[in-house]
Amino acid sequence: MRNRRFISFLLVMLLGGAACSRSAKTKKLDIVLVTKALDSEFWQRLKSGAEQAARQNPEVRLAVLAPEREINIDQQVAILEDQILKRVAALAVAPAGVAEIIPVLEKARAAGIPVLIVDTDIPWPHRAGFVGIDNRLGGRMAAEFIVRAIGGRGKVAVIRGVLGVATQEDRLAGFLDVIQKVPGIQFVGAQPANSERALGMTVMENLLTRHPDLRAVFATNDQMALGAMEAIAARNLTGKIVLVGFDAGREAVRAVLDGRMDAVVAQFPERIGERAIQEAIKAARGQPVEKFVDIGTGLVTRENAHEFLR
Amino acid sequence: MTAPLLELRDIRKSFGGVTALDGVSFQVLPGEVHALVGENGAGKSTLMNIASGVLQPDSGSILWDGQPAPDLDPRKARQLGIAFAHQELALVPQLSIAENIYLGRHPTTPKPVVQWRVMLERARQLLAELGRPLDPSLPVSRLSVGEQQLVEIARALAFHARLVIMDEPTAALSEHEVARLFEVIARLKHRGVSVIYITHRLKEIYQTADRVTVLRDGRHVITASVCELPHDTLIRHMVGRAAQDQLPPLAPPPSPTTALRVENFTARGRFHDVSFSVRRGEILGLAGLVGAGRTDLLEALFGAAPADSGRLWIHERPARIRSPLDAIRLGMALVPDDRKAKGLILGAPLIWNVVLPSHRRFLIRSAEERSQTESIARELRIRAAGFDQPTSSLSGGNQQKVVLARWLLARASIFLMDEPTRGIDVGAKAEVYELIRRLASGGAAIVLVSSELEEILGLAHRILVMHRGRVAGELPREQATEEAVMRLATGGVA
Amino acid sequence: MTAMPAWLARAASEALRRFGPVLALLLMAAALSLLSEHFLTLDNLLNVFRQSAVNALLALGQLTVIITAGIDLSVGSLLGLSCVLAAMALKAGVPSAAAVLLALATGAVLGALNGILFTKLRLPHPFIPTLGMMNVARGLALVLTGGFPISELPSPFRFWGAGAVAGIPMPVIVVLFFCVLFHLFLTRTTPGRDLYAIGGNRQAALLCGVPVDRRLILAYSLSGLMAGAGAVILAGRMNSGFPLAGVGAELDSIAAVIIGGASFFGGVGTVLGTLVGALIMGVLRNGLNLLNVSAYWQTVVIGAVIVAAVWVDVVRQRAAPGR
Repeated sequence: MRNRRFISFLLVMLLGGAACSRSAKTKKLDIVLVTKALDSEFWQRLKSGAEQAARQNPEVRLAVLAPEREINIDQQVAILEDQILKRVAALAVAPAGVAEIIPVLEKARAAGIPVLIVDTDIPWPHRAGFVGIDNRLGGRMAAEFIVRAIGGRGKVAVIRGVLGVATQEDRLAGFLDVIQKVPGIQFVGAQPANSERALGMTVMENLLTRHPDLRAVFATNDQMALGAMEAIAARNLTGKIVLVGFDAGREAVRAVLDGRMDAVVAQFPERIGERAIQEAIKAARGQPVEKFVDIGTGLVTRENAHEFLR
Repeated sequence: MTAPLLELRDIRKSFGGVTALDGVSFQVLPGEVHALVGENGAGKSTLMNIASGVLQPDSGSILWDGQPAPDLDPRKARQLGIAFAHQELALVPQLSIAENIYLGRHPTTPKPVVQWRVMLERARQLLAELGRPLDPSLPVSRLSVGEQQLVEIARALAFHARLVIMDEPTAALSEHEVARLFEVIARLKHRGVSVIYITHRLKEIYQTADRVTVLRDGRHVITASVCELPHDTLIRHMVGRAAQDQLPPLAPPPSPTTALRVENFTARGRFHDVSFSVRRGEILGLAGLVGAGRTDLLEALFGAAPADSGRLWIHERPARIRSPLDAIRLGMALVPDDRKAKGLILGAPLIWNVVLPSHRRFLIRSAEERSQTESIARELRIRAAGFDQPTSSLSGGNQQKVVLARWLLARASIFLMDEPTRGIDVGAKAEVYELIRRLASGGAAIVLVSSELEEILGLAHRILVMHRGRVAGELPREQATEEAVMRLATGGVA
Repeated sequence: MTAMPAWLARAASEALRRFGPVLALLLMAAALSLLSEHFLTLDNLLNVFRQSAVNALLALGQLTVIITAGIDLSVGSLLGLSCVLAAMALKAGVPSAAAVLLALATGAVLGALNGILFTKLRLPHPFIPTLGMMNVARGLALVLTGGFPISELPSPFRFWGAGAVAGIPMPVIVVLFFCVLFHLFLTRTTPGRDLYAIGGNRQAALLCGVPVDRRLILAYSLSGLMAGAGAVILAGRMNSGFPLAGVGAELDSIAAVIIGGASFFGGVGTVLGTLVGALIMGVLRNGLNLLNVSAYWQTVVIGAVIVAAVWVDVVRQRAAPGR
């Protein structure tokens, strides 16, 4: 008798979940976008851009899935395995790892499912295409801003995302390209904070403790930048340390407008998502796909911030 | 005839398909001490739980001061003036005496702020009235069991209880503290408070109660004033058959070989410089007040507690015992004082509790274990629904027999028994005494710790008395009287 | 409670205890096969087993510890450290078989250390040493690798996680092997029974001659060993020894054990129940993935299942107390 209650409770949960997906038997093109996580504005905007592209193509059915955290690589693998089983028409993936993901992507290829890589590129020769940005260029832009802002002298640090991931490596590399050429600037190191806000705050606090004379910080994504911003504000150093982020979500842009952050490298996640799905649709239909799409980057500063707040 | 204070009329109560009470009627007069006796399972606890509102009867009525009291719950019962001091003390060890007395009912100002000074003062008064002027700010954990018992009673009185139900109040008390408790009960009686006194220790009834009621198998057998009911008749009513002499005839004299010899055994703070020996076939009684260090001594001998210095000889060979496993290998057995907490794994099947020390080979041999358990259970007359049943489903007496069965199976030759008949009913007690005697005549050496003097006097060949961790003296059976033992136990000289 | 005769209540309680988790699993599978056409296919079921394998292995070790009324919070980190050490050894040219043994040994030795700290230092609860080990092992894994994953592992090593024999994925074979081993250990051997005794009443077990400290060290060592086994499977599947492997895995292993019917208070728990518990979690995640339900909802559902499992157990205990 109690077992019955437990079972019906479970069924309700499952049916509730199933309500999020219709299993209609129409001939739709199933496209699945798997991102690294959905816990930040960047991914949410990428998702909405993707949904926009799906809406423009009514015969396309789009699902956007992700593991709970960017570091849960095995969860992403499990999600991909399950989607491959469903013989979807095309996959768009922002890979959480490199060597960990390639085997399951090979399975997709074996099943005849074209795979598009989004946001973070990986050295897999069989990808249908890549949609993202030139992260190295973005890193360079951030560095140039900082060099101008501190007059070419002082200590500079980087807060970065998960190690071994191309996007993050490229942003750091681009940053160092510029910084290392300036003799007056001392680079004190790049600390990982897994693209998470809370960790970003903790890492920033530790940096401030070790280097009280720190002059500038580049955080390779918004979440970490916002976390660092709080740490700076807590010590009443807002405006005294130059802080640059990467992604340009609403919150970060507003922070730049308020003067709590100095600049953000803008990706246009909606455009990335939209273009990724457009290319995926082409791949699903067997049409030729662009091998490399660079959506482009911009720099958000106090002067032009209002433009970014559409 | 005065009107009863509490009257239970024709109470019936069943659990599942089992009838616990079958139309029991019971009355308590104001200012009387009324003993309630019966074997385990007779229905005493159930009846008292109904009287205090913890359980609802299936049918029957409750009257208080002549007025019906329907739908009694614990709160209403308390308000009427019924207090229950349980066998398992319900005190919070880290809190002080005063806080425990007023738990949940602290004296407060109109805003809910506790009035500490008022509380302490009232607690002090209560304790003085009960004849024990303890400091009410002491944490309860620092009190002896007897003193904790007193706090439990003080709690009952703090709210002007008119009836106090005491469930086995002397189970963990020494003779000395029991006498103190009787003084308290006399004081309560003097104030007009009635006491219902549940006990297995029939001797106490004759010392403190006015009337006694006997229950058996959920039915009322007899209610009479204590002077009208001699000891043997009382037992006959409880057990339903003629009581045999409780204690078996004395075991034959022991052989000259020494089974266990202890010299200068010391554990700082617990016992000092204890030396004694026990021969094969001998029963050595170990008497003393609670806190004299007897349990600590037995546990240290068994390797379950550390000892600082001392030497041991088992069967005349020097021995080092660092763990119970060592002791068991040398043929020792420990029957602990608290079978539920230390003696048995209650959730495990009966078989496990019987075979654990003796079957230690790598692979379990189920058939062998089962057949050995069956035969020993038959021998000891252990009544259980099935050997795979959890041991918690057995009665107290049967549980204790399981502990003894375990050591019989392990072929122990030296038994350390700590209160082996605590909390078991009359019938099982007799069986345990018979077993102890049989073990001794079979050549086992037994060290018997007990707080019931008559038990020790009836069973032991020799009695060792401990006082504050030291051996106060030794008495051969012929010279052992209650007075002599008490004198040594309280620090006097023989 | 109900007007059920006592013997019927006890029988129902026993049935629920033994078959409750299996029933729940079957019902869940039935529901999912109705909701998604892809669920009940051979490929998908193999997916489920593969995806549940690491958790199942860790859960077997966790079961051993929970039976003694303990807990091992370090298994996720031990997995990560074993993963990393094995990968580093492989990169240094160590043969695959030795790397597997290294992973197992790392887990077993550090697990034994957990047990030694708990027993010899007389710590009040195993929470303390295993929490410490959780941080130390994770830290070591990150320090040794600088945070970077070590990828491209040789195929003989990967075989355990990614290979198959006669169509059956290796992780499944490994899990079944350990299930049989642990079942026999817990039910047919004295050390196994001693663990239940210790969980039931540690003091009484001691007074019955059970070598409590030795058994506890064994239990934590087995838990560590399974973390090492999980590391081999995971590294094989992921083709990489990454230092953040197994983050959060300890909680999943505890969930599997509890859903499978073991009690936090010790003395109760079976291998079958634990395996079913791990499968229930795997089936849930897989089913919800197939239904395109977000990972966040999956976490909610799993939390609900844990609460439900404990609730069913509490109700069962009330109906037939003592077992």
